[in-house]
Amino acid sequence: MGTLQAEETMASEREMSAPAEPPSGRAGKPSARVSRAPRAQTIAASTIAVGLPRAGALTDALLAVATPYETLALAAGVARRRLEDGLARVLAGTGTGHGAPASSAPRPPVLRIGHYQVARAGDGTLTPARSGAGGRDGRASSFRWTSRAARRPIGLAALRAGLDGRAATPADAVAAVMADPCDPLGVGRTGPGSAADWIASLAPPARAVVAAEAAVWATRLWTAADWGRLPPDRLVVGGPDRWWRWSGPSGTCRVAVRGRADIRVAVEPEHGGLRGAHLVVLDGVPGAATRQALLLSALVDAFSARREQEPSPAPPRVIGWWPDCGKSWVVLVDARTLVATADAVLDTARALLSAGEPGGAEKERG
Amino acid sequence: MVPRLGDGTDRVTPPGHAVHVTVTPVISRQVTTAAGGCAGAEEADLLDCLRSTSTPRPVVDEWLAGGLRAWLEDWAGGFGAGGSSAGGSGAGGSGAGGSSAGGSGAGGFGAGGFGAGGRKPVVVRDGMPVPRVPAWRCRIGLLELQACLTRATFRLTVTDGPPRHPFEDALCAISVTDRGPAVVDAVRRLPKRDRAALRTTLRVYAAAMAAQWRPVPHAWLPRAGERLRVPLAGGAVVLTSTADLVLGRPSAGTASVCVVRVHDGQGRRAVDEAASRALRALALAETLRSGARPWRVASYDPSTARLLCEDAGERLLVEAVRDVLRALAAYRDPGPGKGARHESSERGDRRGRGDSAGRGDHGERARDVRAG
Repeated sequence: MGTLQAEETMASEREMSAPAEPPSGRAGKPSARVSRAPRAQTIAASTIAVGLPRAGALTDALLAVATPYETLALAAGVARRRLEDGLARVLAGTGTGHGAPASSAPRPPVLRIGHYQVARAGDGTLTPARSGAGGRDGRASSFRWTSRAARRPIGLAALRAGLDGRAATPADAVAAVMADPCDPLGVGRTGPGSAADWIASLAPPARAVVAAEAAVWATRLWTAADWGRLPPDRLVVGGPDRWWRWSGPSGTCRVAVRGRADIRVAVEPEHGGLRGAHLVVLDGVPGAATRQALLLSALVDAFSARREQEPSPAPPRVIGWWPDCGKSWVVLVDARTLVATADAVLDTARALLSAGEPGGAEKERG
Repeated sequence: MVPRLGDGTDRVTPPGHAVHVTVTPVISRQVTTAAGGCAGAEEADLLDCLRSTSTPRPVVDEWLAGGLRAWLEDWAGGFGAGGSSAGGSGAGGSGAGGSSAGGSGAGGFGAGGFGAGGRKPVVVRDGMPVPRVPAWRCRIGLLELQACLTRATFRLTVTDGPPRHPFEDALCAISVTDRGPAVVDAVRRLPKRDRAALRTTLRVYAAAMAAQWRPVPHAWLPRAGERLRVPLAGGAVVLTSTADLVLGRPSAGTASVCVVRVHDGQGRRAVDEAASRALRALALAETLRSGARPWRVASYDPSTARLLCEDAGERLLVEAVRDVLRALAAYRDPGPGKGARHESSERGDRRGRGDSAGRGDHGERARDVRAG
């Protein structure tokens, strides 16, 4: 049980110096389906050797000490430069005015890239409908709150309530959050379009279903780890998404990469290594490009730390956990995986532009 | 080599392949029955029956989940390695998914990786193959609507108490789910007579639920509406199921989880094979997902107010694996007639030929906890 990782790892298919050039120039032309094989390097992942209770294994993985990568800051710089150069090429090649500032032209939309977009682009299933550009009948599809979308913010607030001792069970915690969603300890911001306002507007039966779904989510996470072993002062449950924004020559933000993690164990040196991890809770089953998508939070942290000189480097590992199927993957953060993730972001930007419309990140809002 | 089951010494997987499971025939322990602890009262509390502690909870065999997964991976490997027409022949086909050595459910992504190269996975839902038709193309029929609303009513009952206006409340509850707009639209399109019948049916079901269920204590960690998806062969095959109610903490060595599924039997009192298969599939999915078999699985039919409840023992799980193998065989080789028996499915059956009591006795072992 104490053992963290099984031997199953995958070898990389390309080296770190793989070229990041686009294979073709179809940018800007909407296509029915962007069936592009993932170009980014394959990232190795390992499973967590599980025993009973499983919470022990996941906690061990969160607390494991990793060998520090000495030149992680340098690697982050390489990855960032590579991504910035690639983005400049991709946006310049679209012919939609992204490349040069024009005072009279309308402001180009921000290309938002999150886990959803990277995973979809990586497995070649990023269609216009899925990128947010339009539905299957051609109408634009927009985000709407559902019980499934709302369960994460409610569930994280409930977990915080449980860890703070404000609730004894996940269902109690969810009930407390639902009773006052606008509370500062609740589901986040208030205002039009927010989860808090949406929850407050629901009829009792709908509230019951939303609460039930959130309780399922919260209970899974509540029972997934041995929270008593995790140091509370270094634990961040939920929290706002972190963004890395890239501005082209015009100086306006063109691309925003979202780093989202559900649990963050702060990084600190220990026993000659680094301790710290991100835990990302995901729906469904792992996909082909999930490893790259998992590392987005680490990539954003690495870029931000370098830029702002913050003492918050990227975690040495990111753990993806799929409660629907009980699987967990551990992905190590090093130079090669950071570069591979940067390449995946670049591929995603290219795919989003090919799909016709940026802005697919709204799909992942919940 | 075709492994056999049933004499207590045979193994699920060939020696040296992966995790071995010794299957011993067990007689399912009888849960509380109408003639036993929960008996008598018309308003028997089915929650108490489910969580009855009259007998000790069984110890979980941690190797069981790994063995069952290895068995399934053998068969599902053909879907991952070479498409739907390849492989799948017992010991030879571990395929892309590989098998997890040394742990229950630890593996499952090999050289092919998850996603199977962008191909859509083969989906086996509740032990039955799902046709590859996009969900949005499927019209929601009356029976499906009824099942949808019934389950929503059940979830409301066990979380928030009985709804006062079952039809309207269930519809309101569904409207905030992913399928909400489609369901609401389908209800709106119903002829007036069908809608009235649906409303009446739901009122009757809700009354039965209100009499037999109560909101679950939060200390039991109730999960109303839990989705389970178990990928096999690197994601080329996905087993899916949905539990309407899950109780109990994850296992720490003893079986601790109770799973309930609502099944609308349309008033038939005979044990419905589809309900039994769905229950087995649910138990299997939970076992593969969590690494520990559930304690009890139950199917509740509001049309007859009966709870079919049984221990999730090895025999039930082995039968569930056979269901999946049959589904995969049917998917791979549907044949000219749907009822045709194919070589691949015979191979699957031969695995369990020694387990003569393993087929068809589901209804005998299952117990009716409550009768109206």
